[in-house]
Amino acid sequence: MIVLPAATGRHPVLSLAVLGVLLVAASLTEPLRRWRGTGALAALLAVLVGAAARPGATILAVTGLAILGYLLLLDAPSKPHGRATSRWLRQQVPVAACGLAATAAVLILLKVPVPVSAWLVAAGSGAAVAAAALALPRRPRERP
Amino acid sequence: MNDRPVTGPGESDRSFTGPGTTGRNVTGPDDSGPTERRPGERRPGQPGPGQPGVDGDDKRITWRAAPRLHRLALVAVVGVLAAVLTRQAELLLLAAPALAAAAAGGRGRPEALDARVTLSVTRCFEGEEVEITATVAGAVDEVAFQLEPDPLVPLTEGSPQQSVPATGGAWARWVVTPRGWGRRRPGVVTARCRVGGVWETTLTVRPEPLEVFPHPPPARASLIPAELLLRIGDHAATTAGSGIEFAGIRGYLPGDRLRDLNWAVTSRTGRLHVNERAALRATDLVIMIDAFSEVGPLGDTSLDLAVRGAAGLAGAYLRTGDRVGVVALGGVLRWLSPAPGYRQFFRIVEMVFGIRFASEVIPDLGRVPRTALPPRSLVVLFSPLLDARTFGIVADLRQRGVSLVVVDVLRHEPPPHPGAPTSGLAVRLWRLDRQTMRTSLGVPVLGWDEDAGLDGALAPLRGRRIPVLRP
Repeated sequence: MIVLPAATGRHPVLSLAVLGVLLVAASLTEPLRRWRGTGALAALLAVLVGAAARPGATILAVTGLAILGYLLLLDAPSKPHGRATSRWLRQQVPVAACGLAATAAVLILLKVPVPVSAWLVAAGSGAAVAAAALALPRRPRERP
Repeated sequence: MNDRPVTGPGESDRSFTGPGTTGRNVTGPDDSGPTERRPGERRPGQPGPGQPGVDGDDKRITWRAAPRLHRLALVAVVGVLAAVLTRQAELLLLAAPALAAAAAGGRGRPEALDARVTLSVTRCFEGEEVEITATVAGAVDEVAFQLEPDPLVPLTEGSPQQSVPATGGAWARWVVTPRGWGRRRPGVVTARCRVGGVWETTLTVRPEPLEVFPHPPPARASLIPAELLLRIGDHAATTAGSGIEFAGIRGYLPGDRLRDLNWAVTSRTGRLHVNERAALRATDLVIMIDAFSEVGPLGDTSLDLAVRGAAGLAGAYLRTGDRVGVVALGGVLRWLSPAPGYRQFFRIVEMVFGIRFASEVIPDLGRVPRTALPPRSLVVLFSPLLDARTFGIVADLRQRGVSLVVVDVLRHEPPPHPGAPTSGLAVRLWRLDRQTMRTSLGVPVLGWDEDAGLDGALAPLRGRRIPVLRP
């Protein structure tokens, strides 16, 4: 998720990529694995490397999926053994499928020429606000 | 003398209705039905009937974002911001998978979860293993259990933290071994449940208190008061009777049984002689426990030793058919009248559970009813002999004319201060002072080193009658 976009980038991106790779390695090994911030920082660096390197849409799509895979991997069982690992993998399948579908949808949308329109911007913003309002958790009601 | 220990909870003697046979049924996620099972016969994770369970705080579940959701949201927000700020729609490809995963993971959060913690037994002796099973029933994907055991109920099997993938429910199992008597909770179980990897909630469940009986050391009913009761028992009296203990030889009298003839003496003297046997009588034992002071490390204090000794002695005398009672000296005077039978053992132990009661009150032994301290009873006082109130009680008991034995349960001396050169001398003086004090009590004082066993401590008085020593 870092190496692929970094390979197309310039020198400053490479230094960011090296830092990101180190963070990824640290987040998957003890004792830094226990610190949740390591994984988040590594994923953040991957996004920044992808944004700075400006690779093609295909590479960005692969990078986005790789970031998702990495984030899912951070919650994998620490002591993998047969049944637990397979069960965990099965649980990740729907999430990964959603990510894949979203990537495909964005790729398709990027191919469609959309005219610049203030209405579209307003509709998009409204949809985003509505989605956030629906998705965010609510405080449970006080029961008598 | 029967040295078999008193049948306790979980032992093979089914005549005792003990732990594991009472309590309310608990239905776990895969419980097959309310059938009676012994501890250890259950399937793991299945809280069997007869073992109590504790519902968790499952009435109101508050879900919060899991670390994964934080990471996904961070990546999505940064990706979208990068796309907006750089005006490059392609950068949305970095954010889209994370955004979709965050949205997909939060589906199907259950409204309520059922968290329970069950114990294999509710009563046990010190040193016996107790199984703790925690179950969470509900539509969760992963449950991370954590047990924080009580310091006196250490974990002997199972990891304190257990992460379990779940489908409809999850369970974790631990085995603890109580090291201290009393009514105590084996620990606190925390279950962190995750749904979809992005939502989590934490349930805290406290198991029901476990009644840990003191482990009774092996002991025999070897202390005999000066006067025995007229009830038939197992102790040889000084009077002749129909027991089995040899008491003496006398000339034959009409009515004597021929089987009692002592043929050796008869043939030597030319006159008929018969063997006399001692009568077998019972006694009443009253155990006093001094709870005024408690010294020593946790789980091995003088009071712990006293209670264990009391349990051992009570069990020994109850096995021989004697009546045993207990008086707890610890501010508020509490007592249990002497009674026979194994049930009395558990009554005594349960009464002793509440013995730790800090108070400055000097208990008035005159308030002890006659039934609790009957005449001609043998009184054994377990005490570290550190509190002045105890000496007053000993004097009071001597005035009341009871056969009294004091068992000194102080095992830990004050440690010499390494920085003070005279501290060693001070400890020696303290030791001599205690020796003098023990002698001046005017009653037999036996030191008990737990390693030697209670029988070893009582050995100096074995076979001798405990006299009534009035002041």
